Amino acid sequence: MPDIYKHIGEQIRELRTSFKGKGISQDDLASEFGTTANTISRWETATYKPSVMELEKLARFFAVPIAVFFPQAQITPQINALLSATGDLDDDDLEEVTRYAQFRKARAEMKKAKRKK
Amino acid sequence: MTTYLSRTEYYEAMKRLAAEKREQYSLNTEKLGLQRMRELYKSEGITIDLWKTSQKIRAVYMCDGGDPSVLVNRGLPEIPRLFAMAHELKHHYCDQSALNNGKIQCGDYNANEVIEKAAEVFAAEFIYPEQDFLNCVQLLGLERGNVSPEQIVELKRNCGAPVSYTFLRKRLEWFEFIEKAQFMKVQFQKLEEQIHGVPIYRQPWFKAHRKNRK
Repeated sequence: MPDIYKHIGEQIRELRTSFKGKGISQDDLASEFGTTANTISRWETATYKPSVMELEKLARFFAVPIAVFFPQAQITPQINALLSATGDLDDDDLEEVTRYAQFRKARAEMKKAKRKK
Repeated sequence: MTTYLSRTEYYEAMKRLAAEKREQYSLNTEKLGLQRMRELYKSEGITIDLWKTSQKIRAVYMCDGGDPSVLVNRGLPEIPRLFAMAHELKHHYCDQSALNNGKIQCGDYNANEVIEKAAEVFAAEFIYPEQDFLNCVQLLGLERGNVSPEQIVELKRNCGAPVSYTFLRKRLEWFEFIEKAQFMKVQFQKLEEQIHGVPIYRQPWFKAHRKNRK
């Protein structure tokens, strides 16, 4: 199994350098996240390990599913969930539920990776 | 041979389950708050994820991969949050296998209707058992067909249960103390403030004091 954090780092770099076609600097990305450019740099080189919540924030910022950081995680289109809602859900609501399902898978992958080490 | 329960039997079974769980965890209605609920979730091995969602979603239960978790709308105030978390507990106790087999799918509302209603029945009984409610109603001297909004305010203040006015109104409806949809338009919170005054945390001087402390 390839190092999951190495893959995550490569993905962060790729998303950052291609952001809106011209890229975003580590400094600018860091200020968006209230962190330092050093942290971003170390995520990209897999020196630091971003948490699953940080990955979720990154995924939202880059408007991609969190699954891009986890090539081995199988994200199925069918979601087995039970919802407590106050009305019929629209596409945005269902998208949010899908995001949560992906977040759970990502968290499980990270736990698995930690156990293997 | 498979025996199918009628809706009524199913809902009654949910009430019994709620009572069993209350007993198992030695729950006290007056002390049931978010902290106790979080402890209970921890004992059940359920992860809570506070999530930013639209107001329509209260909570979501998922359990694939043997990893039960609940998304809770982080914008929900304490009382509806508590109710939503109790609602999801029923799914944890009763619906895991159906979820994992794919028999229940997200968004399939018609097929899930009974399951969802049963979760509401479970949550209501779990948070505030019907018998406790009836005892309180009797103590306050409420009479069928002769209940005023002011009495509902007193019921809320005296029952000690972490429930909303909507919850109490529906219970009173169910036990036929009031008619269906009666008092729907009454603003109970406002009425409570008229009778008992504005709570300290909502008074301008207190708000200003808090703002200055920040």
